[in-house]
Order: sequence, then structure tokens, then C-alpha cells
Amino acid sequence: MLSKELTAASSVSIILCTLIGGESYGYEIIKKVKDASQGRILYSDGTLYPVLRKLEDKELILSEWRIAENQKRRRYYTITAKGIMQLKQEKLSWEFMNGLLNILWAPLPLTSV
Amino acid sequence: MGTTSSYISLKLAEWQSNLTRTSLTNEDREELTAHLEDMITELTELGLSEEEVWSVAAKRIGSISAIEAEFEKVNPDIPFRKNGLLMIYGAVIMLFLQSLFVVVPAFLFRVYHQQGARAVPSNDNIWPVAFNILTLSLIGIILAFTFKGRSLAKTISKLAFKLNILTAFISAAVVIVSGFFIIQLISLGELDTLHTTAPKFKTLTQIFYFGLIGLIGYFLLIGNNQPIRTLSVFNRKINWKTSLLLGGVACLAIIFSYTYAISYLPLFIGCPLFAALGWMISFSEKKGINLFCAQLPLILFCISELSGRYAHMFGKYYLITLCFLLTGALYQRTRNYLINLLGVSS
Repeated sequence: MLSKELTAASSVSIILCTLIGGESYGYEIIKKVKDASQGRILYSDGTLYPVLRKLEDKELILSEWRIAENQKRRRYYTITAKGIMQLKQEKLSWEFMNGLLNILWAPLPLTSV
Repeated sequence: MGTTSSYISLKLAEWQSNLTRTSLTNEDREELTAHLEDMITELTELGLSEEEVWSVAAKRIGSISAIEAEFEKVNPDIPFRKNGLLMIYGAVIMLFLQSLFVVVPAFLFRVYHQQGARAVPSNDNIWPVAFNILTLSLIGIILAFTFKGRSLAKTISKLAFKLNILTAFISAAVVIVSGFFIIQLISLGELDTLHTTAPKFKTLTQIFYFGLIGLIGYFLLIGNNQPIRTLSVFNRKINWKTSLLLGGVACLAIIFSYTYAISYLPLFIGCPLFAALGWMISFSEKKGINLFCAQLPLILFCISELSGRYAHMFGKYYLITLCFLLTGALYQRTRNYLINLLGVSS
């Protein structure tokens, strides 16, 4: 299981990524993340929504209440153009971090640990 | 959620009820509830038992306090709004109590006498009795808050939540009515020609404001994270500020009691209070400084009275109460010494 700190630091990028493929709602976002990470990233579901609020405040996503197929009101989230730009920046940052760590821990015999 | 069992429905209703007590908006609550319902549907389809479904769903959604804390991080305005609301409720309750115990009775007394002056001479006996009853009720309320403060505060907060928008109307009404009566209250003292009612009214107002001072002191201590869960823990943690505050309250009690025409009442009130204060301070770390701070308000009061007619009397009062403060402070040590002495000799 990944550390809480790393999960929290990557949450914005991860949530924005799940919305690239199209609009989604809270429960579906959680499921997508769980499936993509093969269960290694498990958000406490309730804490996803404050992050969504924060992203909406920054205009990286938009939300809209609609009636879902189960005839209940559901809030759908869509990524904005600003959100896509932010995601590109995040991608560059994470790629840089990944490259940096690959260089730094290259001499370590990680497989034997 | 049509197939949800009664057990899960009950748990869900309980969870929603707890959620409504948070600072979350209606939309946040609705979204979280929809999320939980989706999860319950999925877990039920997996064939889990009702208890398992609820247990897993509740664990996954996280504790309500954790959710609220996360929302507060996103919206730092929430704690301010909560505190602001508490402040407003506190002020309204204060105004209500002040009107009920001080302002309205005084206003009614005034109206009664004004009517009496125009018509039949009024029966003044009912006013001292009325003020005595109010005083006793006030003491009752103070005692109730002293011993059952936590549950009473919980009940009031629940009631305020239930009344919802009505609370705002009640608050506005209290403010308007209280303001109206205060404006009407002018020259009350002139009406009590026989001086029978004024002392009773004085007792009532003194207990009211004394209780208020106690309440402010209590919440100041809580606000400063003073451990006051038990008396012994509190005594050990007494510092110079607490001593000054407690000494000030005891000094006020003496000053209030002095306004009554009862011989030695300030001593009857002050001596036990200062003895108790001395005993409490005897458990603290810096006893000397704390004792000095505890008597400081009283000596300052005495100094302010030095040029007055009663300087001699106040000087005596100060010395006597100081003796009681020191007796209280030495009580525990003397008691332990005697117990040891008797224990050794036997």
C-alpha cells in the first residue's frame, strides 16, 4: 500500500486523469482509481469530495447536478480547459520526479530488498 | 435503494442524522449520501450480509469527523462561521436571561408603581417575594449548569438545530424585546419609596452578574486549555493567572456582600472562599506566587479604599481573609504532618 502522503500529493493529478476520458461522478472516480491501481490506492471515499470542491474552486473542473439512470440526483464532474493545462503541467512534474528518482536510486539493489 | 433492508435503512438514517449536525452544506450531504447508497447497492449485490455491508460501507466512506475536517481544510471559512454562530447564540441566550431576570422584572415594577400612583396605593409586598423567587430560580439555573452543563448545552444546541430558521426569528425577537425594555428602564430607584424591593432586586442582579463572571472565567480557562476535568487535576495546574482570576472572583463576592446591611457578612462569605482558595493553591507548583496573586485583587481593593471612611474596617477584613487564605494553604501540609506524627507514635 502506498503512503498517505504520496497518495495525497498525487490526488489532484489522479482525479484530473480520471476525468480526461469524459464526465464522471464521485463513486465512479473512486472505482476508476481503485481499478487502475489494482487496489493499491484506496481513498477514504468521503475525503474525495473536499478535493473535488478544491478543484472546482480553482476552475480545473466543473460540476452539474443531473438525474442519473437510477432516477436519483447525481453530481457529474467535467474537466475544464484550464484543468487540462494543469494536468499537462502535473504530468511534466511527475515525469521529471520519476526520472530524477530513477537516476538517484539506480545503484541501489532494490530487487534484493 | 429500493431493496435496502430495514437494518441498513436504519443505519443510513442514523448516519444521515449525524451528518446533518456537521457544517457541511446540503449539496455536500446529498452527494455523500448518494455515494454511500451506491456503495451499499454494490456490496449487497456481492452477497454480503447486512451487517457486513454496513460495516464495509461505513469504513470506506470514512468517519464523519474526518470528512468534516477535510471539508474545513478546503473551506477555512467554516470554523469562523461555526464560531460566529456560537457567539451569536451565546449573546442571544445572554440577552434572554438578562431580560428575564433583570430588565423585565424591573420594567414591570416600574409600570406597576406608575399605575399605583395614579389609582389605588399599590401592594408593595409582592415585589420582594417576586424578586426572591427569581433569585432562587437563578441559583437553580446556575446549579443546573454547574452540574449538568454539558448535557444542557447539548440539548440547547439540538433544539437550535431543530428549530432551524425559527431560531433566527426567536433570536431577533429576543434582541428587539430586550432592547425595548432596556430603553424603558429609567430611574427605577426613585419608585421604591419604602426601600423594601431594592435590596431584593440588588441580590437578584448581583447573583446574575456574579454567575456571569463565573461563566466567563470557566470558559476562559477552557479556552486556555486548562485541564479542569477534576478538581485535583485543576488544583495541580493552578498558575498565577488562574490564581489572580479566582482571587478576583472571591474579592468580588466580598465586595457584593458588603452592600448588604448584615454585620460581618463579607467575612462570612470571604473567609470560607479564601480558605478554599488557599487549600486549592496548596496543591499547585508555585504556591508562593499563586498565593500572592490570589490576595492581590483584595489588597488592591483595600488600597483603593484607604482614603475612605471604612479604611480601618477594610484593613481588618483583609487581614482576617488573608489568615484564612494561609490557613487553607497550610491545611493539607499540617494534616499530613499530624497523620505522620500520630502514625509514627502509635
